[in-house]
Formats: sequence, C-alpha cells, structure tokens
Amino acid sequence: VKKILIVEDVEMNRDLLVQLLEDRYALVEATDGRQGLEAAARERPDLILLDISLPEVDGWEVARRLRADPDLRHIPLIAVTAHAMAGDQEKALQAGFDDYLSKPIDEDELWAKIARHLS
Amino acid sequence: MSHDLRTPMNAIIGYTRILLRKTTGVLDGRQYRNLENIRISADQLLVLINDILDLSRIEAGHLEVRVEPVDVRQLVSECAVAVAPLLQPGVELVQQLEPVPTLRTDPDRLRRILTNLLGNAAKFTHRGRVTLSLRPVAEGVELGVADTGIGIPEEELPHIYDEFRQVARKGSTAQEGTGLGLAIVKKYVDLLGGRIAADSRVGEGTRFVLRLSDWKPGKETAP
Repeated sequence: VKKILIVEDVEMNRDLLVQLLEDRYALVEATDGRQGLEAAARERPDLILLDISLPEVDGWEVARRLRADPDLRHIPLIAVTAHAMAGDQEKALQAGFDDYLSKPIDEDELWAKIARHLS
Repeated sequence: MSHDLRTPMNAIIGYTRILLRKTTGVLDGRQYRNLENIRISADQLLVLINDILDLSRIEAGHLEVRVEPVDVRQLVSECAVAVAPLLQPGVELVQQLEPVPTLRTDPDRLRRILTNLLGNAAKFTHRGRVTLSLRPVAEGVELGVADTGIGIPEEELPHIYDEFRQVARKGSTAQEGTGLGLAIVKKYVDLLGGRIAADSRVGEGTRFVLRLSDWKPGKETAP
C-alpha cells in the first residue's frame, strides 16, 4: 500500500481528503508546514498533498525545502489550494510542485493525478 | 474574503460527494435525490460565489492583466471543445475559424469571456446551431458567437451587461444562471481594451461580436 502525506491546516479539508483516500492508501496527516516537513522526513511518503496557505511555514516554503533535501526531493508533490486564481497553476509548477489541485477538490481529478504520480 | 467563502463551500461539496459515493445501495431513491439536490445546489452556489468574487475584484481594481502572446485560434478551439457537452440535443456547434496573427492579451480573461458567451448560447438555444467565428481585422481579431436561440427583446438589450439582471426569457427551462455572466464579460472586455456588441431578435437568435487588439497599458476603458 502506498503512503500519502496530507499537509492541510483546516480540519474539515483534511478530513475530506482522508475520507476520500483512506480506502486505498496509507495516510499520514500534518496540520502545518513545520509538521509537514518533519512527517516527510520521518515517514518517507510515496506522495505529498500540500496545502499552500499553511501556518508556520507556508506551502511554497515547504516545497522549496523538500526540493532542496537530497533524501526527499524525489517525492511527488501536489499543491492543493483554494486560490483558484489565474496563473496559480503555473506558479505552483515553477515552485517545484509536480502537479496542482484546486479546491473544491474534484474527485476524479484527485484520483487521476495521484495515480499518475504514484506510477 | 475569498478563502473564507470558498473553504466552507469546499466542505459542503466535498462531504456531500463522499456521502453520495459511500451510501450507494444504502439510501432509498428519495434520500439519494435529496443528497443529489444538495450537491447540485452547492455547485451552483460555488459558481455564483466565484462570479461575485471576480466582479468584486474587478470593481476594487485588483485585477491584474497577464499579457502574453496568444494563439487565439487554438484558444477558441479549446473553448469550443469545453462547451460541446453543454449543448442541448440536436443543436450543432459550427466553427468558422480563420487563421489570425498572434495576439498579445490575457489568455485566462479571454477564455472566460468566450466560455461565458458560449455557455449562454448553449443554454438558450433549443434547436439550430451555435456558431463560433474568428477572423483577422485591421486592428487585431474579431470573434463572433452567434446562436439560433430564443433571443433577447430589444428593450432589454441595453441592460444585458447589468449585474444580476436576467432577461425574462420566455420558453426557457434552464434558468440556473447567476445573472453575472455578461457583467463579467463586459468588465473583462474593458480590461483587455476590446469592444463588444450584441444584436438579437426574439425567436431568431443572438449574436455577440468581440474585437480585440494587442493589449497596451492604460488602454482599459473606464467601466
């Protein structure tokens, strides 16, 4: 079973992702950027779903640090954000994310993107 | 503000979808339809919220234009693909797209303009066709969205870009629009420094013509 790390500060949003994914994947949860970085180092997940607007260390910074870590830089990183703004997708890809999901999460898109990056 | 509105909507839509999926075979037909109606209404509310946020951003002057070289013909084709599933049965989508020079404009705004115009055409056309046209003109490009739909009464034409104004459309069954689609179109056209004109006859159809040239700073026309 593949392991996915979910980094999201809003409890309901995190719970939603858990309920969507729990039947198929092993899940690890973190509620801010610092915890997310610790969990990534400790758990070595196969994929990370990372919210952008996080307390402590925001998603952009988490992505930067993960990408700078030789042990963690290979982990597929998907941005999850409510910023449904023009240009955000591009910005996420430039910041080192492998992919981008905007809220509200489209279930089919979530499955497709996770499957693509886990293969 | 936008985050505060979207986060609860995200939860409502997400939990409803999870319930729909995980209760298959558990709920009776009526309970299932109730959930389905919550989902549809939440989706509609999200569209409305996004439209209102867009408009408020325009009105606050916080909308940036991201100009880049745009292959307008390619963009128009993509919009046509996106609108195809929205057409009513038997309604044909005709594309008359001439090659045009690359245009310097904001592709996201242009896509939204076209999506809104095409969405309206699809919604209010019950037979015949929706025609999407593109041709080069002296100042840039001319885009047309024409339909053989129910049309707009002459006295309503001057008001079609007003916010929350929905023309009383006789014989229309689908009224789930927000009344903000054309208001956003007009504001985005102004933002891109373009011009838009509409012409319509009740029972015969509506045609929107949009002219756009390369974007220049300070070219936005006052709202």
